[in-house]
Parts: sequence; structure tokens; C-alpha cells
Amino acid sequence: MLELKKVNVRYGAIQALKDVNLRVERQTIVALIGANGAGKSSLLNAVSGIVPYTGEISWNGKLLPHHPPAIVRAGVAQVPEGRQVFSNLTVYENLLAGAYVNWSKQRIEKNIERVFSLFPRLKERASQSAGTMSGGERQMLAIGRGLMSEPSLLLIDEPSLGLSPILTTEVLALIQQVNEQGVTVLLVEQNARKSLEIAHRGYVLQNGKVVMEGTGRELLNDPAIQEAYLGVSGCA
Amino acid sequence: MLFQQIVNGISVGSMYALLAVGFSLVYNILGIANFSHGAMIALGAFFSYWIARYLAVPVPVAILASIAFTGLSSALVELVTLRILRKRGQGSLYFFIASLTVFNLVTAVLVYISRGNIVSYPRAFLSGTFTIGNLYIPWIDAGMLLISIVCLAVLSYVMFKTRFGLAVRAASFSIKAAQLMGMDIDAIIQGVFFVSGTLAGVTGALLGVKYAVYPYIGNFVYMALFACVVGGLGNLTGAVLGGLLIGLLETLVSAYISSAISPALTFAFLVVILLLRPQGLAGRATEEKI
Amino acid sequence: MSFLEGVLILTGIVAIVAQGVYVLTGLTGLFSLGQASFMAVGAYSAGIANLRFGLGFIPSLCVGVVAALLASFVVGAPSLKLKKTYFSLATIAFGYGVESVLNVSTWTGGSIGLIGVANITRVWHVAIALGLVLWVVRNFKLSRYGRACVSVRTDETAAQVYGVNAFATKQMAFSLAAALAGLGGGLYAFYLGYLSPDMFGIPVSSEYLVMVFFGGLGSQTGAFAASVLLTALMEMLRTAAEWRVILYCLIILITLMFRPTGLFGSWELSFGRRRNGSAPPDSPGALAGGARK
Repeated sequence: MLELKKVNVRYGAIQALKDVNLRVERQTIVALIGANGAGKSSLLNAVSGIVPYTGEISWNGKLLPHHPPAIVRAGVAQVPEGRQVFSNLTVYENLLAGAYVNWSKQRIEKNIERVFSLFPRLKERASQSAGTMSGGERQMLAIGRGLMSEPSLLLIDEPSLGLSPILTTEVLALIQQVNEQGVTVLLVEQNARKSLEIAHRGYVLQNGKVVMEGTGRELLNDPAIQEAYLGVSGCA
Repeated sequence: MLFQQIVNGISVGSMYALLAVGFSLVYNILGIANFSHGAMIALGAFFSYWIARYLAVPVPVAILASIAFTGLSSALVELVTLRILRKRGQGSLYFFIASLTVFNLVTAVLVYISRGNIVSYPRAFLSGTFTIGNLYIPWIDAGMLLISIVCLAVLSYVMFKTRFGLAVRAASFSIKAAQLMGMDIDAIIQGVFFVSGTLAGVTGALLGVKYAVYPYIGNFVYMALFACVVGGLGNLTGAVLGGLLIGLLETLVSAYISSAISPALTFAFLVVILLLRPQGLAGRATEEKI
Repeated sequence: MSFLEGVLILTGIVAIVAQGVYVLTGLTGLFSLGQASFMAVGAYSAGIANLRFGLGFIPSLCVGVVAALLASFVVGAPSLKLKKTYFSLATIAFGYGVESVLNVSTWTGGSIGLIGVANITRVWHVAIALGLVLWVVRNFKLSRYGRACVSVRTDETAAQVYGVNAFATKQMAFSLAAALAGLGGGLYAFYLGYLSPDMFGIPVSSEYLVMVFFGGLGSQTGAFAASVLLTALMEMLRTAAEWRVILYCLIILITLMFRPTGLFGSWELSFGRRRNGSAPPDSPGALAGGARK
């Protein structure tokens, strides 16, 4: 279980997260929704240890260190939005980069096979530069790369950014598939409706504070959420 | 005569190429010019001279030891300046000034120690010439070319075949994404400074052998900068090409016009490149505009 | 001329050039390693105008300023449309080129230098010039052009969206800085009476840049105070000639590491109500790829 207790993040005078408490049960998908600048990405980056924070973040009962390599080794990986794939490396090298904390050649090969079976498209493009791929393919690569460190918790940032609605549905279905294989997922998503549909629980962040939480269904049916994040006509 | 000058230009250019590559490695990760590179050139020349002189070891051994020293010095500069600034969230901008000051400081210290004297190695190293057809090729020129080819081969092996190289290339694209892969960014940056320091050390030592050892030898770092712009800033292949081209240009201008005017023509050449092909000779278009 | 007078004149000249660096680096976020070379252009042009064409003090100074202005267009036009990195590199190449031309040209006296310029500059000349410069720079900073510079420094793309011509703004700041360097150079020529190429190398330019950092990038007061303090320091250390550059670098390095905002940060001396200066540049501009990361 991922547990955040009284987590605060500040950048100079701006407080990005204020006393955030949050729990993600094992093998569930939790969606984090909120407007731009609500602190969603800051929360993921705090868990990944790349922004300084105060408070406690623990995974499976153990406090997470603040050092990014140690966090990845502890089984917590982040999938940044698709534009953050290494476009100067090939698809294959991107996957190798994802396996950076893993020293065993055999396990790396096995994981690459696993990613290729999940995303056959990546296998076709293995030796192609990641910069030449389409938005959807990059997103798949970003997720595949995130799986290379054999994480038990995957933090996914804006997987639908720049994707068409059809591709968004496809990517979210893939995330669901990853989750069914036993990986816990904390998902940050602009598209509140679609992410809440696949999430077991959801949290709503506003100005760096958790203002509401509940199961995906509850939040989808909440009138305040509907108005603020889903759009009255429902075409979020 | 022309061919003679071309040989000379290529060997000098190969040194600029090594400098430019070392310079680009740091630039690619930090997005900033690291002027302490110039300090490492000077230290490379002086360390190898001192070791050869006072420890009475053969010059090649002295050069190897000095390369290790400059690598470590470069890593040390990273540790005491950039690391502290980065931890405070004030990375690149202030490091630019800090690196400039380190360069000035090291030059001043060397001026003080050497009392401004220009010195040469106690024993001849790579002296004399050999002939191919009617070309007289100084051994030092052949040596410089050969050593830089070896260095570039080793570097490209490290960059493309090792875990460290993968991490460096990943971090050059995005430090944040590299960290998310579990890469220890502090260690990677320090490693890059070490590698770049060794390249500056090799060059400094060899330029010291070819010309002389003097405190302002670090000014060759400007040649590295020009080479980077000519080849395309941030492009390692371009840096090599740019280095060779600048070396050739400088040598030919010195031979046929005047050695004192060659920096002015280098500037003119740079202006022409910036006007016509700002992305550099080897760079791709569009990405260098603001 | 007494030692004190000499120190005062030198300090004033350094302060004039440093005000230009403040406009260029502090306000606009551009890093030039060629300011000393613009000084050289100003100094040599003024010196030659006086020596070879018999022009008087003021006309010669004007010739120096105009020459530095023209040079600023030669460097700025190809490089200011590109990333800031390229501008810095172009200024380095310019410095390099100027030094080599000065070394070979018979017009400028080659590496021996230009000898026999009239000894005219006095403390009151420099004081008047410095006063004028401080006033001009202060008004420039508060004018719409100054604000345009700040907006270009903070976010060039956004500035352009709001109708600021980024290229023209940068060129304007650069030309102003070059003109001030040219003025300083002219005064310098008439103070020393001789000029040589090694007075104006890239290391001298880097000292000006470092000086403005030392004072605090966001502060005109800081740039002024730093130039006075550091020049005075250098003069005091004149007896320890060998050590002074080392000490100078160490002081700057330590300041940078422990008080990176410089002595004054963005504080401004103001008469009457307290006014906050503009914040120091937060985006990496120095030879940097900018928003790449």
C-alpha cells in the first residue's frame, strides 16, 4: 500500500502540496484528478523523489527514501508523459534505460519480451529512433519503459496528453491490463471521466489539497465533480 | 607545400575535435558552457610537464598520469561548484560564472607558479619527422592524430555500448526522465566531468609537447567553442568536424596569410556560419532557432 | 596626477562599462564576453581620431562611441536572432578577432600598441560621464524599453506574443552596453595615453561579467557598488601583484557559492520611497539551451 501522510511540497513561495494524505491499496488503480496546477504532477514527483518534500511517503509499510535511484529499486516507477521518452535513443535503448536499476542481462531480456508481447508495435520499431514515433506509440513506449524496472507500483502522468479519444481509450485499456498483472497504479489524468471509469478509487486535488475522495463510481456520480471536471453535458 | 599544411591542420584540428567533444558532453547535459574546460587544458599541460620534469618518468607515463589528474580535477570542480549550486536549485546560470572564475583562477595560479615562463619538456618526445613521398610529417602531428582517433574510438564505445553511456545520452535528453529511470544524476554528471576532463588533459599535454607549456595554454578552449558552433552545438559528430575544420582554417591562414590575423578570420567564418547555417554544418535545421 | 586621482578615474571608467553590462546581463539576460573588446574598439578609435586625425577630446570620444555602436551591430545581427548561447559565443569570437586585428594592424600600432594619445582625462570628466551614465541607465531601466528587456529575459516567446520585438530589444540593450563600453574605452585612452591589445582580452571581459554578478544581477546599485569595490580592492592589492588575481577570483567564487544572488540581490538604492528592483534572472540564459530541460 502506498501511503502519503501530511506531505508538503513547496517551490520557493508557492506551496504546491498542503498536508496531503492519500492511500493507494495494493493492486488497485487510483486516479488523481484536478485542474492544471492543482499539484497532481508535484505529488507524483514527490513520490519519485525528484522534488523535495516534507512528511512521510511509504510503500508497503516501508518509508520511501528521497533518493530517486533507491525509489526505483524499491519498486516504484514513474511513467512521465509521452513527450519524455528519450527521443535521441532507439526504442530498444529506451527500454534498456528503463531497466537501468536492473543488472541481470537475462532478466532485462525477459522483461523486454514481456513489454513486446504487451505492445507488439514496439517490437516492429525496436531499432527506430523514439523521436520518429507518433504520440500514441510514444505513450506505449513510455509505459513499456516504466515496466522495465519490474515495478510493483507505477505512477502514470497524463497518459492521454495529446492523444485522440480513441487512442486514449486504448492506452487506458492497456493500463488496466498492466494492473491486472498485479501492478498497482496511481494515475494522473486530465480526462477525469475515462480515468475514473477504470479506477477503483479517486482523489480530487484542488490548490494542493485533497478536497474529495471516493470510489470511481461515487466520484463519477457526484454532482460537484460532474460540474467541475466532467462537464455538464458529459463530453469531457 | 599545401599538402604539408593540410597534414599540420588536420593534426591540430584533431586536438580541437577532442576538446570540442569534451566540451559538448557537458553542454549536452547541462545546456551550459563549461569554461573550467580551459583550466583542465592548462592543468593537463602543466601536470604532465611537472611529472616528467620532477619525477623523471618517461613523457608518455607522465601524460597518462596527468590525464588521470585532470579527470579528477574536473570531477572535483563539479563537486565543489556545480553540485552545491544544483542542490540549491541554481544550477546552470551560476555555474557558467563559476566555471569562468575557475578558469581565471587556475590561469592566475599557473602564472604565479610558473612566473610567466614558457617551458618545454626536459626530454624530447615525439620529436623529429618522417617522410611519406615528399611530405615531411612531424612525429608529434602523427601522434596527435593517432591519439585523438584512439580517444574518439574509446569514447564512442563508452557512449554507445556501456551502461554509463546510455545514462549520459538519456540525461542529455532530459535530466528529469533519466532520474525517473533510477539513474543517479549526480554520479552521471560527475562522470561526464571526469571524461571531459581527461579529454582536455590529453589535449593540453599534447599541445604542450607540440608548442610549449605556458599558463595561457587554456585559451585553446575558445577553439573548442568555435568548433562546436561550426559543427552544430550539442552534436558530437559535428564537434569533431568543426574541430578539424577550424584547425585546417587556422593552419592554412597562418601559412598563407598571417598567423596573427587568423583569429579575426575565424571570427568572420563564425559570423558567416551563424548567418547561413546557424544549426551548424552537421546539425539539423529548425531546432536551433529560439 | 596623484595615485588617488588615478584610482578614481579608473574606478569611474570601470563603473561606466559595468553599467552597460548591467543593462545587457542584469536586465536582458544576455551574456557577453566581448565587453572589453568593445572598450578596445572605443579606445582605439578615439585614440586614432586624436592621434592621426587631430580631433579634440569630445569629438574623439564620440568617434569611439560610434565605432563601438557599429561593432555591436556586426556581432548582434547574426547572433541575436538565435538562442542566447550563440550570442555569447559570437561575443567570444569577436573578442578573439579584435585582439588579433589590433595585434597585426599598423594603424593601431600592432602588438606594441598605440602610443602618444593626449593625456586629457581628469577626475571631473569621468565623474560627469559616470553621473550621466547612471542617470541614463536608471531611466532606461524604468522606461518601456527597460521593461521590454526584462520581458525578453523572463520569457522571450511570451514577450513576442505581447508585441515586444525580441530581436530589436536585445540589439538595443547590446548596443547601449557597447556604447558605454566605447565611452569607457575612450576615456581610458585619454587617461593612459597609450593602448595595447593585451589590455582588452576575453579575461577582462569576463571580469566585467563576474563583477555584475558579484554586485547582484538584479540591481543597478549593485553593479555600481561592485565595480567601485572590486576596482578599489585590486588597487589596494597592487603591492601583492602576483597574488591579487588569485585572491580576486577566490573572493568571487566564494561569494558566488555562499551568496549567489550577489551582494545586493535586487535591492536598489532609492531616494525617498523604497523601490524594489526587478528580480534577478531565473531562467538559465548563459550559453544555455534555455527551456530545453
